[in-house]
Amino acid sequence: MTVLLKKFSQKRFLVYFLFAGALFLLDFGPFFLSFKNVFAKLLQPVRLEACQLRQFTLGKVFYSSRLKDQEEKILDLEKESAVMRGRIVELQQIYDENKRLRELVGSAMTEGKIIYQPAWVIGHRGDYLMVNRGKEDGVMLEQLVINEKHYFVGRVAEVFDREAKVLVVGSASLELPVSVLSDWERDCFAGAVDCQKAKGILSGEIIKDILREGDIGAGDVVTLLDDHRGILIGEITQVKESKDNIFKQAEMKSLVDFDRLTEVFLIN
Amino acid sequence: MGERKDYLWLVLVFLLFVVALLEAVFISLPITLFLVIVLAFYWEEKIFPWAFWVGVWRDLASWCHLGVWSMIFLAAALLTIIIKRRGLGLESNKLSLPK
Repeated sequence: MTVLLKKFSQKRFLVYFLFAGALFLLDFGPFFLSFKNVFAKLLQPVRLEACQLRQFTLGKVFYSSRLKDQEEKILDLEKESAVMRGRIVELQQIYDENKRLRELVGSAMTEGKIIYQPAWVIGHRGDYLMVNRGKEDGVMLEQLVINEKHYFVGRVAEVFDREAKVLVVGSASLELPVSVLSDWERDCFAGAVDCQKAKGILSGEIIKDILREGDIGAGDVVTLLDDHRGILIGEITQVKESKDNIFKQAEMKSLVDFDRLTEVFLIN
Repeated sequence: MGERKDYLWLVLVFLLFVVALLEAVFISLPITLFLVIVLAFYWEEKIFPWAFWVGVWRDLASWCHLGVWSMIFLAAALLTIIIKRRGLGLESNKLSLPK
């Protein structure tokens, strides 16, 4: 072994290499952990500086003016993009409004029977909607309010000079005499075929006082009683028997999506 | 003149440690290894202690397992010296920097 070591000219290398190996093996234990932690804490500011330096590229030094111009251009483009996005939203609103109005004009059931007065929904709280038409626009109490699909929205409950308060369908305060019709066929609403199954009083989302003879079921539609303007109120979801054995009740779901309601029509 | 040579030696060792630190926290290129090889070419056996300590420093700075970089630098230094002497056929100390 000694001969080998003598032949090996790099004794110093062997000493240091063995020392490094010992260090390597000892580091598997917890001996140097505290020392390494202290060293890591001491180097923490250097690491932070290094992180900041990484973000500072050479391009920013040599092309700073060019980069500045580019950043200004990006800002301008972002502004332009924001304006254009606003314009797109505006156009989309016009498009939606146009579509709804076209649907309304194309409604064959109501030809020549109803005078529409368009209004914007300006507020919705609890059972009431506020619309931007009032006394000055000729709005009257008890006037019916429908949406663009001809679904019943509610009834005018209070009129101000420039606004009106509408009590919406589904509210317990709104009581209406209604008919229950068999299906969605257009002939039913036009009066060509007698599709009426039953009559009742709508209060909230419950139709009361329906005679037991009325053969109604889920899916039947609810409309205003003796009204041939084709205004739909809702759809029967459930039929319940009442305790008196004379009448029965039905639960109804409104056809209007109040969350998306923006325009309504006051009708005469 | 002799003081100037000592100063150069000190600067090179300091540079070695600084480069190791930079490599550990900032640059991912193996510049320390390159520097150790260059210095091993000129200093020969005298590089071993510095290769060892720079390796320890490098391990500490990069939170590596202690001894790993020391062994790598020592092996690289030895390999450089062997290649210099046998492979390139250069005589010992002929090109080494003055002490």
